[in-house]
Amino acid sequence: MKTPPLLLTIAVCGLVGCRYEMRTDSRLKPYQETPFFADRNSSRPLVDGVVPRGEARTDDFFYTGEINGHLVRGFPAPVTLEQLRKGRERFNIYCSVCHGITGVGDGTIVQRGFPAPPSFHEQRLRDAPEGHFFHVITYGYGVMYSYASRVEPAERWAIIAYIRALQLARSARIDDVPPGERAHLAENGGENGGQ
Amino acid sequence: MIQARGPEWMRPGCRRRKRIGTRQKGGYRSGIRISRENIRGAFLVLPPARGDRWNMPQIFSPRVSLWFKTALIVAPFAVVLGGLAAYRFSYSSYPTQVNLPLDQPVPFSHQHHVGGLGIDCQYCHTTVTKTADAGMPDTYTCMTCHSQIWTEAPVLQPVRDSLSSRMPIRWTRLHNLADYVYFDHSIHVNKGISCTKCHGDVESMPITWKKVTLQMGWCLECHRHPAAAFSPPDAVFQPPQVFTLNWRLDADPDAKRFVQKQLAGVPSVRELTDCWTCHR
Repeated sequence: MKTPPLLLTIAVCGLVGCRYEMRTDSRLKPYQETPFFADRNSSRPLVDGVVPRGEARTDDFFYTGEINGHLVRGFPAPVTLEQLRKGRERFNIYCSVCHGITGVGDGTIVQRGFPAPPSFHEQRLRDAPEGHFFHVITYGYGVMYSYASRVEPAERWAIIAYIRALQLARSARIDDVPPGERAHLAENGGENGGQ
Repeated sequence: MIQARGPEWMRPGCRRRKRIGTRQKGGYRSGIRISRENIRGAFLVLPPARGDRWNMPQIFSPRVSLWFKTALIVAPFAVVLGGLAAYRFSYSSYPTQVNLPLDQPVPFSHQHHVGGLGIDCQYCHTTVTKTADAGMPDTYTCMTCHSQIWTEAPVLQPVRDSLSSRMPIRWTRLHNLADYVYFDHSIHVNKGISCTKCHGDVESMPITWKKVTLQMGWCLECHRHPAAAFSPPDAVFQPPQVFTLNWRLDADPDAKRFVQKQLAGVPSVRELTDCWTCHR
């Protein structure tokens, strides 16, 4: 006759384990809703004037692509191969969906009905200063939304460098390639052509 | 000294009796004595009254007694089976929500956006290489395309409402880690762990569901064998390689070299399985 109370005790002990205080404590997860703020958002907008550590935007060239209201030409720092690789990666993520892998404006979203953007290879954009591209990425242009929240300034410059590389590649001749690299180009031409 | 009482076979010196007890000078002192009567109701018989110690009548009928004995034999099996059932249940989709599509305010399809259109994971999950949180796209990101495409679609009405009211869309969270678990997307992704390793073949999900339990045992499986968890660098995000189901790590020499290189920068298994790694 002692078995039922024993089982009951074990069962109750087991139930004690089913407490969730530690599993969901009072801290909020990203995007979690909270009744604490009027708009119920736990993620708060930054107070005006906040400067992230190490990101004091004192360098107009780097952070705005403009100097005294004029779009800049050139890059804030000499372009490196590493930067071009980063630019290619970011371009393929954020830009190629509309502008296409090669920049002619035939991305998959355009094929589904989005208004076609101009080709990067038209003369107007070949002559455009680098600051123009920076401005477009930051503030948007026409039906293109701003990418400021998705692409950091350093990534914007990397993308601009890659756009310049795409433009160069379009009119490049085999003579422009250093002799040592030509064989490599023929070998990987198909594979890396779009990248 | 205990006085001899009861039937002949119960008395000291009788060989027919089994006695368990503490042997002391002058004979056995009380202890549990196993006799025919007592065996019949082992555990279940009330202690005999003092004056009638060994000749108590049977309380339970043989039938009830049989039930008790059966219950005693069955109980351990029931406990084991119950434990096994509870263990299986803890991995089922009811508590873990694995393979269980949940209702969302907008039936977003990764199959369409990733599999069909080829949009990179990072187009929307922008901070996956930079912070602990992968980043959920804001309404603005949705409207980047849907300001021009499917502008009248009723299914996107919550997105347009969100933009006009400046209130975010409240998605239903699928992957809800316990608050005592620290997890960082950026370190995993930057080291070469593919999105699919934890999120499954998202590109073929018409509505998103959780693919793995995210239980501690599942996490430790990789932390104990990190080499098996890697994907080659370009496969981390790009669907063509990530989602190639027949791709095998050992069949790809470049990937093997990559893994060797990556492993050099990964802490030892001892560190990876340290409590502090995830509970900090």
